[in-house]
Amino acid sequence: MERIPVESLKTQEKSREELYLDTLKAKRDVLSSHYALNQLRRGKKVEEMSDSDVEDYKAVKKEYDKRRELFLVSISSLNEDDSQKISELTSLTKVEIALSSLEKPAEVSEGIRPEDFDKDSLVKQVVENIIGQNPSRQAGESVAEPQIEPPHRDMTLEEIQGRIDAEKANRQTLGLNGEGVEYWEAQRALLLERHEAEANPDKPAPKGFVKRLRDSYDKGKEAIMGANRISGGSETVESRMSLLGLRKEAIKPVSPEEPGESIQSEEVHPIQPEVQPQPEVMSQQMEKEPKKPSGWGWLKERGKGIWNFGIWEFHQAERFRSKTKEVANDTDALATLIQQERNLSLEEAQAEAQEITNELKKNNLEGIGTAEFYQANSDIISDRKKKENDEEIEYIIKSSGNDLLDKLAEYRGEAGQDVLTQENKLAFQADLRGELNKLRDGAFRKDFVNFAKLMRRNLDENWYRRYVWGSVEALAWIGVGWASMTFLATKEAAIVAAKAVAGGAGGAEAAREFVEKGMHGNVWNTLKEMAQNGPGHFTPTGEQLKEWSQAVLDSIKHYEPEWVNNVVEGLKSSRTMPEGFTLKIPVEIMKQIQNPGL
Amino acid sequence: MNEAQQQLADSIGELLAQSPLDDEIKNRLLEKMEEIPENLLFRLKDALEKEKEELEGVVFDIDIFLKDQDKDWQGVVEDQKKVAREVTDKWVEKLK
Repeated sequence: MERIPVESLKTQEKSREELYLDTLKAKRDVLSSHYALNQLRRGKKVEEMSDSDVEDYKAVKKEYDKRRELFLVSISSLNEDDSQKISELTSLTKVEIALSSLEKPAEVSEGIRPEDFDKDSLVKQVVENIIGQNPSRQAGESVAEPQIEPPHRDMTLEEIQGRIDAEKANRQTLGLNGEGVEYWEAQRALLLERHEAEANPDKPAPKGFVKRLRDSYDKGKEAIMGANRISGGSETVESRMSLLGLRKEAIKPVSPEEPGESIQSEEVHPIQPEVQPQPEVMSQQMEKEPKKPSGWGWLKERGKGIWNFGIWEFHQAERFRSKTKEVANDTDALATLIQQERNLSLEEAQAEAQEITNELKKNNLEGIGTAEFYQANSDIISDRKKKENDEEIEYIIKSSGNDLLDKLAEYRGEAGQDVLTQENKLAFQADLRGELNKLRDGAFRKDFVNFAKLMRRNLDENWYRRYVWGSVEALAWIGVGWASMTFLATKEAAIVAAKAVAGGAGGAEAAREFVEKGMHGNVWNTLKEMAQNGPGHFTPTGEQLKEWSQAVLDSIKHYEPEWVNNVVEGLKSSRTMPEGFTLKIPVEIMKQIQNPGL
Repeated sequence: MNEAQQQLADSIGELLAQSPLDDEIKNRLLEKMEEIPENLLFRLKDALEKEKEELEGVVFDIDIFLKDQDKDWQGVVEDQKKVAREVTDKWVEKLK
């Protein structure tokens, strides 16, 4: 995301009231485009969308990102009280009411009602203005009239009543069974209950409420486990993810019509269906209906990489906020990972890691914990395409070799074959492979940076703090402030993800016995730094370091004079190794270096 | 407990089960739920819903990323083929 320079947003000194008003307007703008975005996404599956529709979505998303950035800058200029007041305006309707009361004279603003605001037109405006200007649309290509539906929590009593009436009319004219009426009547009851609770802020939850909530929680967890069971075995997606340290339970759509769905099909259902059965209806359906497919299938297939990016982002944000730890030598850690993953030499991996770090810097993406991000998301960033492109490269090299021979034959006849000696052939292949790899590595870098941008944009900690969790005093109630909120077990995620990278079955690293690393100072010091700067971020004990160092020395046929009494025949002294000497670290030791728990 | 309150309890329970919040926080919430006033429970539900919407957005955007990635890599292969022709010609010149 292009960060908006703060300087450009600062205008002349403004009064507290003006700043407050500006922030309210910014919140109105961001919420209207947020609603528009959700609307464009609802019930859609990306691979089935046309290019134009995807471009429309991207255009609205870009506008939304811009507005969100403006809002976050604006709210950060407010004092704590005003900021909290705005955080508590959790819906577009509430923001509109607050704005009207500030913009209109007192006598006019009195008696303003939620239903006086036309959210739909605000949201439609966003969609039409942006999509209408989308250059990817052909001239004359029609833009579908957006069917705007705000989140149900933001609907007014009148809007809900409208839905009830419409559903009743449908029942009469179309002979529908009226589930929609029941759903909207339940929504009306919920809204009335909310109004009553807001009017009586001390009103406690009724007797039996917690038990019911707990039952629903347990059922939800159970459904998630069932939904994620991998076909044909007892393994679950979350057990796979757990190996990678990601989630203890995987996500499934909240839509009540999709309890316990299967992961086998990819068909997407609307996230918020028009008709949502009540809990009683749901539980009956859970028992009778076959499992339905999920739009989250892709996530389950990959099983890693997504959720823990969020964890890393929050994790990193907290680390930087508290300044208790610095991410040092991130580039080195990344080089180690790249070396393992792509089977490159140390020098090539270091050069690649440096290029990536530079690209991130250029895009204001420093501080994401590059190595951690890379390893946590390697399936999306590189694994996914690595195999395919490696095969392409081999094919291109082979067919180019044939071309070369044919062309030489054109000039030299049969002698062409003689010119293409084994030495020339190998040199040609090496030259070509180098060029092809350059293009592949450039594409990897581009993917990495684009993915980092996407995740940074989507998991903006400020947005979660200001918008998602901003008004939840319930958390303060249980003694959890934003700063102490954690998302899954971050440390555990680091450890196990590191383990997966170091010892992941089937990966390139698994086929190799050693990880190469240039020596810094001596073996002891190099291994210590690797542990401190690696995903586990820990200082190993002297005992561990001795054991690891000995294993490394064994692998490179060296010995440490201080640990033996006599010169060891056939081995060289570790003191003879120059700075940068290539150490071979056994994979087993590498796992321990990255994981203090092993 | 009326029907609306039952609905509220069901929604919070289900959303909380799906939330990426740490289990420790979920457990603390569950333990203290009884003490939280009803109006704040509505806000908790709102926040959990918003969290879910945000995460669905992430999923959607990653799908778009993957679609774009496929397209981009097709372009990479085309570029590689072009470079291969150039390198081959260079070697023909060198060896002919």
